[in-house]
Amino acid sequence: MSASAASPGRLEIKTDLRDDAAVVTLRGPVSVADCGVLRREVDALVDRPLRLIVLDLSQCHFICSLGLGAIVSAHIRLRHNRGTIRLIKPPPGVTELLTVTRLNRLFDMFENLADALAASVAPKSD
Amino acid sequence: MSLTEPKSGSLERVTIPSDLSLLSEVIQGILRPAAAMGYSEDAIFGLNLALEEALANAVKHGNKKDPTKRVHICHCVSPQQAYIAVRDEGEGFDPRAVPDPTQEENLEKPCGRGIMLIRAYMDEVDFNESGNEVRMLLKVNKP
Repeated sequence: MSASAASPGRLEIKTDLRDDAAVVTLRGPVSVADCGVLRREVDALVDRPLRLIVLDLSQCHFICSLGLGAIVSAHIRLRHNRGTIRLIKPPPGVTELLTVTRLNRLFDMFENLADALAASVAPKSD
Repeated sequence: MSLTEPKSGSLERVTIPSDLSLLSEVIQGILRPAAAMGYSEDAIFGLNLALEEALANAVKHGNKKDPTKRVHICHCVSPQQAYIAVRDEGEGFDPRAVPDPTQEENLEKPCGRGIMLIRAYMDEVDFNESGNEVRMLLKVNKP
């Protein structure tokens, strides 16, 4: 069985700083117990502040609503500083979750990191 | 409540204090047998999500993280369906009063998606009159 909710592992967060951007890679599930760590990591980046945060969800096979809330909160705060959050497309389950919650309307989603970094800096318009 | 405990199958009951760090063990105790029974990855995902949301709500909103209050979980997993009931010791609430988080004006709110997700991923969801207990049913092997 591939990594899935039935064999959860633990969340790993890796942050890579590049000039005025950061790439945050989430590997594993974002369960309720992990949301505080995610929130602190992302909030610290928002406070820098940065122009762009790329959240690599390609290895994130599960996220709860609290985890989504941490991302939404960061998105709002970063926007106040004229920055933006972009997502690298997650596995199908989380992609579907973003559709069910309609949060796919808030975030630009990219197939890979190169595309996410290369896109123009204008935040997603409503 | 229209959703009732299954009359057949092995019903298991667990009680935990209001501690978010304990949820994972409870959830895995339900997901492991479901996976062993051949539940699909989609079903496991939905079950996992509904459990996370219901239990987190019970601890945070129902019991206000009061360490003296407990969360009561009742579950029965069979090859055909998964039944879960989560009850907190709080005062309850009106689930109908929760705003729709998918509405445009609510998309940027950091919270309020839990109940919507439970309803989206489970086949049947029911609350008791006071709102401090939720019962959920996921049917697998649907026609």
